[in-house]
Amino acid sequence: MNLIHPFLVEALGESVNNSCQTILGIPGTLKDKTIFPEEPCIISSIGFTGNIEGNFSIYISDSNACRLVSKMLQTEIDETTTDVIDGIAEMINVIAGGVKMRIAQQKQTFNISIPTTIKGSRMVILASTGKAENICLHFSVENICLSVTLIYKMHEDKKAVEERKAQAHLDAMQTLNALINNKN
Amino acid sequence: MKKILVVDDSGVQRKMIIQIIQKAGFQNPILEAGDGAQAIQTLATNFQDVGIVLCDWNMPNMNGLEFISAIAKVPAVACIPVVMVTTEGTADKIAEAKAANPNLAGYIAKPFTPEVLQSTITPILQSNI
Repeated sequence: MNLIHPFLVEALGESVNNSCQTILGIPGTLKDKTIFPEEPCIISSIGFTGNIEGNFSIYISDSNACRLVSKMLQTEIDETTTDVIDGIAEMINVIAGGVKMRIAQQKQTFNISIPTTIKGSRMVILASTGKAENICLHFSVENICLSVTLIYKMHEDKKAVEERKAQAHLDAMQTLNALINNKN
Repeated sequence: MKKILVVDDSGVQRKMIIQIIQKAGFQNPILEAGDGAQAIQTLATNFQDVGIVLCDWNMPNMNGLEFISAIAKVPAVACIPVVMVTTEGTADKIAEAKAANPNLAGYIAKPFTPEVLQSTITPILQSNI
């Protein structure tokens, strides 16, 4: 776990809440977990790269996606049209932008890519393997349930890595010298 | 009455912007483009009638920055007020956009409220009838 992690958790939560408030006119409520009905769902994901790299994803059932985009466009939509797919992609785009603005205050930056949206059945969110960190938050907006994940890893500053290596080398030499001096 | 050109690769985002404009009472004809290249084609045939361009940043083919930079170099369209409507809301991105097009008339970071969009475009359209 790194120092930026708690800030990212907060930034993601705030960004989702702010996005719901401004796009839908209703704030999102953070939930402990989301129970998805046994129905097809939509996952829209957007990658980013920079000091921090990874991706944001939104996970929402088909019926909830229709309700959410209906509120966005103030019209009734009851099937997953291209507007629904597009609307969910726009939602994750805006959420990613919100996190980007918030982490700029921490001198961190990244560039956002173009969203990819997939639709299917019985999909589950899995954490990425390797050194990536995983944040998963669940929200409810007027009983519309959605989950948002942020999977990321930090890019270490090359200068900082070199300095850390040099310091470790120095420490090792001092320890070795101390051992030799003690023996003598 | 001047036309409003909305440039965004997201059809839903274009619809949301158009809804806000129309609900605010503007009856200006609205043109749409899905990227910067389409927007240039649209401007080529409508440049005398367009009173404001609302433009996203991240789009395929030609992005918003490339688009506003390109039109800034063409005298016939350089004076058309452009408002960026984008998730790229950091200070360095705003500075980059202003450098690309000195006539940038506004910058709206997504997500935005209808009030923010209305208050940004109203004075531009009123002074550019």
